[in-house]
Amino acid sequence: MTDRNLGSGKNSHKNGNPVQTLLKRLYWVPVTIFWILVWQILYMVIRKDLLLASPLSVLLSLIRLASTAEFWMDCLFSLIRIQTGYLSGVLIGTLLAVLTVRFKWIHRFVYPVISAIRSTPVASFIILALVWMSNDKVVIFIVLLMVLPIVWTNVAEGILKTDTQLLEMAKVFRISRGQTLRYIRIPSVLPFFVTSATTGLGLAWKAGIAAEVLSTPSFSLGTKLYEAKIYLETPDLLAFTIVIMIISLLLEKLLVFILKKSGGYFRKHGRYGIPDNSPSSDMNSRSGKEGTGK
Amino acid sequence: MSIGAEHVYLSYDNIPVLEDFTIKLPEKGIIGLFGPSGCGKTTLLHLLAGLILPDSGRVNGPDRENTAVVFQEDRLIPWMTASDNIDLIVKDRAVTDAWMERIGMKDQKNRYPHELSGGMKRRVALARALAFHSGLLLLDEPFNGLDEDLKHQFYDLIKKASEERPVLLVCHDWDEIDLLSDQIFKAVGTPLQTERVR
Repeated sequence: MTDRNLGSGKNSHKNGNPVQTLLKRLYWVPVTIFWILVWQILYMVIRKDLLLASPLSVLLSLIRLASTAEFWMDCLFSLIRIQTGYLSGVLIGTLLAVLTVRFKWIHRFVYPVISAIRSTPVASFIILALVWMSNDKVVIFIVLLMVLPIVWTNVAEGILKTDTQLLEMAKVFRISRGQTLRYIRIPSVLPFFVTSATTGLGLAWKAGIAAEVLSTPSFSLGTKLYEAKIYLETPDLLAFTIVIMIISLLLEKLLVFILKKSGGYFRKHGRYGIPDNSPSSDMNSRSGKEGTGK
Repeated sequence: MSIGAEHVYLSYDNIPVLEDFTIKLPEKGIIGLFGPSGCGKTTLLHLLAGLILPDSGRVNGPDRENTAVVFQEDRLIPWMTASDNIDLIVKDRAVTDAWMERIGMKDQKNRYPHELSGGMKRRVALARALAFHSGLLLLDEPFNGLDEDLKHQFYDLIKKASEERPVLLVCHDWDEIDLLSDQIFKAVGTPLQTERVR
């Protein structure tokens, strides 16, 4: 049979100038310097350490804090609490999505509760939870409550949007249930799961720290934020805020990395391959691998 | 029991698509079915493939054997390479590779569907169905997007496949039906009725 390469232009855009690639990757350096300069100028205009600490004093505060064991304990325990709530939310949200798509009557029961959770201010839940449970559990519970609706909505949408034509093809060609799950269903849901998992992670840290500030458990970044506010330690307040931002960002990067690797398992040859119309295509482009072949 | 449908009734939203419809396929050979769009040809194929159930009547598939289908759409899994799409069905890498070579896509076997042209995707979809061990082959507008050379190469492959099993070819192109089919039916009206032309 005639072999005609109709051309795909694959990889034609890759392997550009390495200097340009490096500069593109380091774009955040001048951006960060710019905003630190803006911060310094604001500090010089305001001239009140109580209202806005200088970048230098925050840096010194950060170095001082990082040299204490207590700081690392605070980071560790906050991480454990928030990630426990987050992972529970992801797990329960995913299971619930499968169940609600499969059984309409479960959806009818669950939908009003999730809608109520979505529209209720997080502070209300934190205060209620403080009445119901111990300080440590409040944080886990609140994070779970914030993450669950996001994961549930997205994963359920992903399941519903699985291409029925591919499922029909699988049925006709006798592809086993296990293989259909691995090669069609999970890869179809994966982009929706990735979106909810990354969005949920950011929200988990916001809600988790808020819960820690109000519940003040021992060894927590939220408690330290609260104490810094009480004692008017603005440099410490900003230093802890920066630490929280860094942890949250690093975790998001780690999560994207793990999901990409696990995506490869389901997509046989390690291709992430998020469709252009999926909700996470923006996430994919953020990681700089939009629509690549492998 | 011969493959086909007996006294089948099927309707969508109270609109009858098939009414007391009967078709019996021979044990082998190509059966061509042509007719205007929307008269129920694809519905008949989906019925024979077991993808839809009749409201009443009987549909007989091949005994203890599979049915292979070339759908109107290519229906390739987008995140699997061309050869993996075939291998998932065939489950034999050597057979898959042989088919990739046969359809002239040996060099494109590791490409994903979005990296292939329309004609290449069609070739993979056709190879997938032809490589699948089946007792009935259903083809719904199988030559869409193929040029004349490629069409003729697939004509031969389909004719060879029809030596061992019945092939139902749905097409709106009379020339293709006329060239390939041993028996020809013309689809007329809705609900679907068929008239044997040859």
